[in-house]
Amino acid sequence: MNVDISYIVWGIAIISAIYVVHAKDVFHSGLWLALFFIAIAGIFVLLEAEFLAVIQILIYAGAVTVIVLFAIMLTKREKGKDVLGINLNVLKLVSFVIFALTLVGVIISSSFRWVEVGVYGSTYDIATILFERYILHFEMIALLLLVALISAVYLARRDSGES
Amino acid sequence: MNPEGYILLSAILLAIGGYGVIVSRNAIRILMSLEIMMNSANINLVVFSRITGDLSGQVFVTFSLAIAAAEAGVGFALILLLFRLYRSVDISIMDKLKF
Repeated sequence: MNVDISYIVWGIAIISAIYVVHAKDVFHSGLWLALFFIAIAGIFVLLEAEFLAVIQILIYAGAVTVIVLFAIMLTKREKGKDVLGINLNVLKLVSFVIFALTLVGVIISSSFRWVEVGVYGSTYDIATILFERYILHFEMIALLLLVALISAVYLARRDSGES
Repeated sequence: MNPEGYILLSAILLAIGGYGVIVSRNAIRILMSLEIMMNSANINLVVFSRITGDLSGQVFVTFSLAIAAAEAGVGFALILLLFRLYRSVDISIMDKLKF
């Protein structure tokens, strides 16, 4: 069996990312974004990071996609009237192609090698590092999530701002 | 599979996300392109964690996921606020700070 499954996952990731940018309707972009998140979870599985793959599906494909689709539904006008196109410009496209080619050139001129470890990336090891070496960062993330929750509720109130 | 392939994939996704941020007129699509760029950074962290054999990279990806969730919540609340103000999510008409 010579065909590598990782090429399929890479193809899905790149094609769905392109469709997120280029889909006609922004709702279709949201659905392509869900496929993109699932493809990234597949890439995490290929990299032997199973815990991150599960977290990716739970948070990104579950929560963030729902937030995106709710925002699209709340900001939609009547059907078919809000299709904002993209202001395509040859200069922007060429500049990002040059950016990508520069990165590709730098990467293929360097060489990396996988380190040989036996069991890598178990949830037990991640939890040990998270709660011993990075416990202060963990608490700061908890504070950040609380602040983000309160500010999102405050900003999206009905009687705030102009109305 | 060698590591360069995964880093190349991450670079290409970063370029696609940046292109989407520059080109889009819809504010929601700009935030979606930002999510693509954050995911490419996460792939990079996991790949280099695998190269060096240090699990700190995966812990950083966990932090990045929490920050991305917070960013999505606050960002879309701001977009809702802008939509109430302008009755549109087209960023080319949001020019109140211009003089």
